[in-house]
Amino acid sequence: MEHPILFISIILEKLGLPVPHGFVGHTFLEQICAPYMTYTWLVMAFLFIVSKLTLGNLEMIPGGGQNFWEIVIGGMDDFFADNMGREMTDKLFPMIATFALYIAVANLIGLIPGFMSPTSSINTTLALTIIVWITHHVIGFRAHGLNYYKHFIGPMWWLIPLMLPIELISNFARLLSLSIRLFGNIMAKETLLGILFMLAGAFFAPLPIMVLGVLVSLVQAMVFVLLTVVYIAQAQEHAH
Amino acid sequence: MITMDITLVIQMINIIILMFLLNKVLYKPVLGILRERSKKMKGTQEEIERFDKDARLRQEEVDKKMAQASSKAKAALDSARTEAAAAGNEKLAAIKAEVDADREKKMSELKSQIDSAGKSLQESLDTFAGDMAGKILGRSL
Repeated sequence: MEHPILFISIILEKLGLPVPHGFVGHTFLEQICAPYMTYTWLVMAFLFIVSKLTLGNLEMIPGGGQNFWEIVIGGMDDFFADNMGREMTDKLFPMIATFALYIAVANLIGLIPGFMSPTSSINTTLALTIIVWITHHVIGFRAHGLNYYKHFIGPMWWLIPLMLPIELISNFARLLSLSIRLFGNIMAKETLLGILFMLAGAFFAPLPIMVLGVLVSLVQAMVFVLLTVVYIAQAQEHAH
Repeated sequence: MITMDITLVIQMINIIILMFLLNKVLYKPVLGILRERSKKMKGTQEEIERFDKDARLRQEEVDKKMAQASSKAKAALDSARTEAAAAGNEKLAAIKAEVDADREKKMSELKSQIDSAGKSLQESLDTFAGDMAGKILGRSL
């Protein structure tokens, strides 16, 4: 099902660019002009411009915009430091905070008619998940060296034949669970909104789903970040 | 619907670019000011504690000085009181001695007068007795 009206796609079509009429494009240019790509750039531009505009000149006694960012960033910083430790937070804060802001804005932007959530594409969510997955293994190796393998062999040596496959599968399943959870939730929201909009948009039928959509968008962003923090914290811990 | 293609890699690059951008315009400045503020707050707190300690020390010093001054004043008062009492007693003793001397002198004068009066009376006793007897008898003896 194609999204009803996406203003960026319409603009690109008017410019003569090949916007795919389906979920994905076939040529490279079509793939780049796919709505989830263009809306990703929109979200990126939005985050960059908003933060640039709201943080004109920083003061010791914060004003409106600075106050908001201080609460958001200070809150995340405290939360990450509580769970991963101060040192790891200082290193990884930009990555995890970017995930939080990007996913929250990308999820919420789909609630506005004419926009779509970039997170309703598996390519976006899987890209985020792969970064998290690689990062947590890199942190595990850096923290424990080659002893990191002990995370995968269970508590006793004679349980290795049982535990090793289970641990490996559960670790690789993180790739699927993180990406498909976010993708599934947001795609379901987008699809449902699209259908309701087409069926009875004039009667405000999508409104209840939009209310739920706000909740789902924020909860999914929180879940993704929470799991990222948990995976990184686990990778740092000693194996049992 | 679930199709993975080259955009997966582009999205990864996008996110990494966004990380750098936001780190530059958002995280670094905000975290910097948060840290600066907490440092400043800590500094102010330390300053408050230092001032508090200073004030307490000064109060103690003032109390000590007050106690010293009070004991000094008390000692001065006591010594002045003793001096005044001693001076009073001395003066009293001098007056008493003067009065005693005066009295002695007056007493001795009085005594000498009594004695001289007694003596003169004694001397004129015979004359008086003769005169009295002559008056009683109505003739001279």
